[in-house]
Amino acid sequence: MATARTPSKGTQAQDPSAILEVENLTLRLGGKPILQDIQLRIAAGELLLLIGPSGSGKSTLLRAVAGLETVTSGRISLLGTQLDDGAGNSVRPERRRMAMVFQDHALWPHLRVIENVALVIPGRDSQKQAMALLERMGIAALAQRRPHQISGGQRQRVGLARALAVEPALVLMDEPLSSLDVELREQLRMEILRWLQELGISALVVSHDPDDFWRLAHRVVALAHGKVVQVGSPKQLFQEPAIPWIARFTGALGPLPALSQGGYLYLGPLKLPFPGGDASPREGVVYYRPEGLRVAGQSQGTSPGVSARLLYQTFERGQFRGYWQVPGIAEPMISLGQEPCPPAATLLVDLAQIFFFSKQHLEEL
Amino acid sequence: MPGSAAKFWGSRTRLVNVLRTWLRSLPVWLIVGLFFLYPLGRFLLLPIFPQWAPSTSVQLGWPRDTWQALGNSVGLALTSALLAAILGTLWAWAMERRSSRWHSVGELLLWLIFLMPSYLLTTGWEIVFAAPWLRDGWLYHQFYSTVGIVALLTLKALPFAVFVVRPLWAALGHDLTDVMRVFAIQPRRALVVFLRLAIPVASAALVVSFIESVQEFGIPATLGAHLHLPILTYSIYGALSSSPLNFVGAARLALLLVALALLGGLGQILLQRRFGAVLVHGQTRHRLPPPTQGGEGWILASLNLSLGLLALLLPLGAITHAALGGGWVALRQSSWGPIFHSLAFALLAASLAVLLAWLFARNLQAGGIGGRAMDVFSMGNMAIPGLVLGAAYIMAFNLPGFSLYGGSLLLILAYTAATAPMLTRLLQAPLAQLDRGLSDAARIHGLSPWIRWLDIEAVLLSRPLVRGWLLAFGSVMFELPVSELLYPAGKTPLGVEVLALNNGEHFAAASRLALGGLVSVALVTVLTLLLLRLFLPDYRLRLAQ
Repeated sequence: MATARTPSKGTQAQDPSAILEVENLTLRLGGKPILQDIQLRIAAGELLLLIGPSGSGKSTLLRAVAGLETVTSGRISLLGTQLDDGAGNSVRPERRRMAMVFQDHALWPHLRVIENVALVIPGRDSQKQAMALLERMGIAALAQRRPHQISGGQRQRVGLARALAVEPALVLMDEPLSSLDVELREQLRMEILRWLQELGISALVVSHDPDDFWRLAHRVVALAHGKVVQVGSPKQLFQEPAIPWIARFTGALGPLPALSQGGYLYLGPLKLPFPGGDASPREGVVYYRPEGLRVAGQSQGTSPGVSARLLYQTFERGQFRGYWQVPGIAEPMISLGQEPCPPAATLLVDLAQIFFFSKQHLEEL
Repeated sequence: MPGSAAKFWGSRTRLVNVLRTWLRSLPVWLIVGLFFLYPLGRFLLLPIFPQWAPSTSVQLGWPRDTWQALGNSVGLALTSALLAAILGTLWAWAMERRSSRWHSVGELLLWLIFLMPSYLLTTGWEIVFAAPWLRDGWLYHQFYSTVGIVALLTLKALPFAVFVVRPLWAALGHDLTDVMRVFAIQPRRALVVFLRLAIPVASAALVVSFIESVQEFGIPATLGAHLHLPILTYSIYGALSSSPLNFVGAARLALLLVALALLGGLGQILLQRRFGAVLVHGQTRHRLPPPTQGGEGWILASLNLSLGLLALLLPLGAITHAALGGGWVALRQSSWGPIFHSLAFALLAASLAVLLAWLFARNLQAGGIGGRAMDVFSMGNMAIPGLVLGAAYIMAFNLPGFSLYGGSLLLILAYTAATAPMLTRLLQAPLAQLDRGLSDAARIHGLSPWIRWLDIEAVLLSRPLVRGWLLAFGSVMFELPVSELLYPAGKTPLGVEVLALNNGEHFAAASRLALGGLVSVALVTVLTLLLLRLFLPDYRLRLAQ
């Protein structure tokens, strides 16, 4: 299990140190560009998370890496071996020696649990090896059952066991936890991390679940409109979201119309210092994090503030969520704090938790 | 490698890939060309190229009574389609909108009528009316008239009407009619709205019933022949079976028949365009329909009972009575040869047809130009009646120096070709429902194509494949038009023999054979289903999340 198998054929790629390397990948389906100029690199033992809005090309990219979609141009290499040169020379999926965990498990319904795992293991010992794997994952008792006789979480464990049975260099996961309930998701997320770490296997995971972003990913690649818009750690994407979708995905609220001019950001009656802004006026939108909006007296430091009237408040997970009417801003602004909100207050804005996206920037996307 | 050279090699490799894909589907298209396009083209183009006709065919003109046959065919088919559409639409509505224990009986009845060969239905009723106390009565004269033909055609078209309409009612959902009640719309206006929903639904049933009725051969060959009433399908057979042979005339009639089916298809397309928005409403939320109200329960019960009586109990009872009437001696002295011939033909043809249909359905599923072409081909081929295919095969494979005509092989090939398009459509849905992930998982995890095909696809599709095989087997066992035209001497199939005995009014002998055939089909079906249950693991394709 410790040694990863290598793909069976293909020419040598440029960077043999990377587990997976995707260079300038473009993919068109029916003449329509689905993926454009994708660059991707996964290091040994790394879990790379692919996020992005619906239709951004996440699953297509995963299928292209698996060899299920034909790449129009660009290159894909695994362990330094070229799998696809973008010119029609492509190693077939069954020869790439990858593994995949599917959203809906994709277990073969007519086979027992042990057969589902053993079928992908070559050689006479396949049943024995499959059983050892099931034991390791704590599902040996289910070996003789068929997929419809076990629960969703157990099915996904079998799917994972089948993937690991291939001894792959890279596991692909297409929203592996999305069909499970919240509690099971958390449990299996931890197990996936543990197993991948123990076996030293890298993973490319597609997800639309913010919890996967925080708790599963070593690094994140964000896609939008078939292009990579940001690559970095979850912390980097949280601190500097490149597009509004990432800001929202990481918990920011908005959009609120705003204007940037002469080093300031104008948001309704608020005039906020904006050092990176141009001298010329730029229209755009602002996203802010509710934890960056504090009621005066509750915050530390000297943040810019604005008078606001409380519309209503709710209590959520140990914090008070205040909905504020701010003159000049059509939508209510939301604050998050430890103390109950007064009927009227000055709201203070944490500049690190507010993000401006100019109209021009949005149009370029 | 310089950029331009890479581009050149890249486009060359892509071209090779495209060619490889085409080559992979080449065998399928060779089969289509050789066994469908070539024979049908050669036969249907005879009016333009009469020199293609065999030298034995001396007549070139329109057969006698052509226009009368056309008029009769259209009139009979339209009347029965109208009746089947009205009845079918209302029955399907009841099945979707009311819960009743009679629905399961109704479904079984419809399937049995669908599977029952039409000439057996006629034979059964002819035996009933041969009873001395019914002979020469009012009912007897009604049966031996166009009324009888319309009634039998309606019975045979009814399952098609219900099968087509039921999913349309299901797709329309309850909400559209419930909303009228919620907003307390006046009964008269509610009726108008209901009719606007029902008319496009009923029209779909009308078109399908019309195509089915106009292509019907068994009823014209039995009751129609007794009445000497010219009907298109039987006239085609007449042109090819009576001396002098008239291939060109038969082709002209066949073209008329195909044109009528295509007109029906065109009508369906126009209806879809006109009422498409209604037919594809599809915002359904399935819930249990309310129980029958007022007299609805009684109406449903009497509908099921009278249909069961008219379409199954009486004719099959009459056949059974006539078959067993001669006692054990008659049964022992009967000639069972035709049953064994048909059994052999059906076993071979059904197996070939299922394999071919699987190949076609895979091609259809692959999409692209090839998939679309296969879609058009399999749909279009269903508009070609077996009779036309049989006639085409006589010509196409009866060449100087290479003749399959008069041999069992040609008959089996024609049976295969006649059933494969229907099976292709039947397999299309299970193939489409087969989760793409199952096959992707097999590829990604390194399973070879052979293992993928044998261990995954074949097993998962075994139920629809076996169901398709049984359907093809039953159809071929009682097949009539192709058998009439192509059966080899000394190997008379069941349908041909039953019809010959029926037309000679040897009802007891015809009934013995028919009953023997039904028992054989039932035995093979039970045995096959038992084997399937014994050897196929218990699994579910769709897993509850």
